[in-house]
Amino acid sequence: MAQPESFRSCLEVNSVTHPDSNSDVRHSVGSCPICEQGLCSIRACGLVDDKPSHGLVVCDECEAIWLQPNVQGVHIYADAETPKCPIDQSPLYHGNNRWATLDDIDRLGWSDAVNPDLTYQPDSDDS
Amino acid sequence: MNASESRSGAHRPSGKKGKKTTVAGIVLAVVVGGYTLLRPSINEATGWNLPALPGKQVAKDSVADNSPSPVSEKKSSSRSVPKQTESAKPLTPRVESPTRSERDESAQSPGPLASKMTRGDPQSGTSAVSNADKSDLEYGLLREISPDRFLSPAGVLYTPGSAEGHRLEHLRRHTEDQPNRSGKHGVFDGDMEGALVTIDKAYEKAQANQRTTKEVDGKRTIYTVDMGKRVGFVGGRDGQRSRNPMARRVRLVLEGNRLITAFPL
Ligand SMILES: [Zn+2]
Repeated sequence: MAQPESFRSCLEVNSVTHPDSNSDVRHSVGSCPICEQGLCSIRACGLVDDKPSHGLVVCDECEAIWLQPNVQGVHIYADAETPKCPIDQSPLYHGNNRWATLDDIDRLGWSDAVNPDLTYQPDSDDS
Repeated sequence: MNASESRSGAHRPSGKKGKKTTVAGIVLAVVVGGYTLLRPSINEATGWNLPALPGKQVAKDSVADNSPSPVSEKKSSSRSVPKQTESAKPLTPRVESPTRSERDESAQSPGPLASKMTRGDPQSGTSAVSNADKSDLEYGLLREISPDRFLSPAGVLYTPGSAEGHRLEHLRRHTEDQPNRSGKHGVFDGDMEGALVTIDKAYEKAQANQRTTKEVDGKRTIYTVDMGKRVGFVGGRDGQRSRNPMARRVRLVLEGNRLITAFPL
């Protein structure tokens, strides 16, 4: 992106959600069956001692959420304006959570669900 | 008040509109001129204080018909924002309107996105909307109806949310290719301005059920709209593999009139 810093500082000044998600590698379990373009990526939530107590799968386009790493299962939606983790109610994107690392995913026991072809680092596309 | 006065002598419906306007204009000019000339004398003779006429009053009134008051709408909350074309009316072309001062106020207190959004003028220079009026609008299109909440002419609402912090920032991802991203990544033509105009057109088509498929999933509605012409291209790794084919459809994911995401297909 051309001017990410100026925009971020604007957001911070105005206490709008702080984007935490543009610099981390995202590991995904599939393409979104709902919007058909999003990547369903794993978030590590409920961090205790920097370790996740639970995980979510979140579509990075339509923000459908799955509580298990199976996007054919039941999905839910968080509030569109102030999305929260449906389990601990922490803000979904800048709360006590992060895009899951491989270690996080291993701790969650979801490693087998990851599709390595879908791994994506948003920064890699920045010009 | 003055608008209705100026219309009282001549009916508006079509026909000899130009001629009637001319006659009405002459009559009005005589009345205005007489009033202006006689006002000091009347004031002096009677001790009244008749108001002076503002210099541009007649010119303003002649275009006031298409300028509903944006003030009440500006104060309305997003929850009560009309979904459809009602909201488009304040953006119809206007020359200096009597509500200009209120619009200036909103321009002086831009939202946090304004510094980014108003950077660079939209490319279309053909509109009758003056540059000053357009600069009040984010990307020359969106009205900030309350802090951080923007409404398009067609009634699409852009609010905070998403991993990027604001739906407009999420949308910005779809104005550039992400060639390293797996799968497809729809990219709108025309940067943010082009994307917003295309989304508005798609939304209008979707509301009119024109070339649209619709899926409802709880609070969400997903429209896929065939725009009938190129609106962008297919990027991402899959798009690159097939030489970035053009996209002529748009997918809109909405909650009510609030945009969650949109991208070309
Ligand atoms: Zn999705």
